[in-house]
Amino acid sequence: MASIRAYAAPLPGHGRWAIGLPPTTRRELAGLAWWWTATAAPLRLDLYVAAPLDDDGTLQRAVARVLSQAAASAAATPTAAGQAAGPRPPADSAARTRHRLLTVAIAIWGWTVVLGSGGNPLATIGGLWLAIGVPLLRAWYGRAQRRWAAGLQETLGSFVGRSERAADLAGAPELRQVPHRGLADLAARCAEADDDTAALLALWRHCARSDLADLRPFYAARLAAAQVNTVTMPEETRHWCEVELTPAATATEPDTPLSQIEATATLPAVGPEDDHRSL
Amino acid sequence: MAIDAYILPFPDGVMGFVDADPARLPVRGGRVTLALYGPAEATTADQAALRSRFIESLGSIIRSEGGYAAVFWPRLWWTVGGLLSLVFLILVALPSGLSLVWLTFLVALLALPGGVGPLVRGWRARRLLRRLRRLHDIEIVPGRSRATADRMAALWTVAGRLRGSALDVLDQLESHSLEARWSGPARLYGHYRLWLEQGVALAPGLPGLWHRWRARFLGGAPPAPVIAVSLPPTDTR
Repeated sequence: MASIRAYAAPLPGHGRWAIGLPPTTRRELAGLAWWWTATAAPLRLDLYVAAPLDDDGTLQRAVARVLSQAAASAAATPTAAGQAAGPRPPADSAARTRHRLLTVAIAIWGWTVVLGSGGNPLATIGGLWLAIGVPLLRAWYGRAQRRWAAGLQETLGSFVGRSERAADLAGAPELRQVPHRGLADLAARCAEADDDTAALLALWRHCARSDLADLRPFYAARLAAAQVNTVTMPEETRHWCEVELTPAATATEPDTPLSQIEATATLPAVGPEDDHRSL
Repeated sequence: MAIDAYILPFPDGVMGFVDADPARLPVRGGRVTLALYGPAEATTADQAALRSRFIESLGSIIRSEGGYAAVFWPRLWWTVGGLLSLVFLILVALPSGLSLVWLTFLVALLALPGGVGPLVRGWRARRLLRRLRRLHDIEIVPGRSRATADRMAALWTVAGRLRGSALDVLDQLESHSLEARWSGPARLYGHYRLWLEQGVALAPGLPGLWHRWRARFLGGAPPAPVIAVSLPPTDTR
């Protein structure tokens, strides 16, 4: 099952969360979309939360919206859509002109060889290759490159479509809430802060010291927006979707991730009876 | 058959590491199994992080290598046809003197696509995409090898004692892995040490004599990419 991670990042104010995909996931969305489409494997969204949230479909819709936005943004970005991946086609018009001139010069040389071959089969074949074969192969090569890039964009397009359908909860991908200790710490620090700016500053600072480096650009953008009181929100915040949800009544204690495990010399010994245990 | 995956100590936290060439992923029944070794039992969040970042690594490889797979056949025919025409034309030019041979050689060479490396890379990428088309699920199970668990415990013990700059820590972790004859982590630490020392770009593959030789003589075919995923940093160290 393909799983994509998303975060429910705490925001100042009770029960406010920002749902979004981390930048690394957004960057690799083109490749993931190709894989998802090629295998038709069910998609699961692992949503990291501070504590399980009481969801009436709001979360599902929010995640679907950010997925759809990220896919649309990736489809519009040539690099993300794979146009620059693999052997690169000539980047600018000067390089393309040089390529064309070289092909024409080789073709002229080829025809010269054919005309001067005097019926020699080797010279005729070699000349025809230069005159006809090379231009045809170059064209085939260029078409294959363009087809791959277009295919990636198409898969991203279908990704957008499926995500939008998921927003209506028809054929929605499975959403799994994964409790995360780092996010729980963030939420606690956010609640301790005096005002919104102080809360955002605390969140931004704490991100550097926990498993949540992916959230740092988002909090930096929110903080910048809060400090300069700008009307236009920074680019990063557009990839996130704000929701208001309260933690579920049966909230469970988040797992202790490896981030909380101290690397000490007193690691649990692995005895014969513990052979089944890997860690 | 399961692939070994490790949660390794790192200067700024921990690093998830899947020691496998994606082009040779053992896909059985649409599934790849990762046998996970780490300093403690991995939580659901850790497993989810490893799985999703492993998938992101695969996505990154698809994006970067897919283009090579797409142009494999045109490139192959272009290379084969170009080499045959080069031989034919030189045979024809031979009786006319060396200067014409040189000129013919130059023109035929210009008509060839540059290097065999992208062709090899395209072949590997095709194999990778074929496997990934069959891959539907990634399962993470606890690793069962006692020897690997012991090595992991020893590595974390050493890591707990290490102090100093990131470069020193990486160097000592690499030395310890080499002493323990543990090639995967040693290569990972060596790679990041080189990156810190020389600013070597983080390519999907890791350096090594054979890989460097192959890259040079086959024109840049990528070495077996080892998938490294960064995991939660250890903020308690």
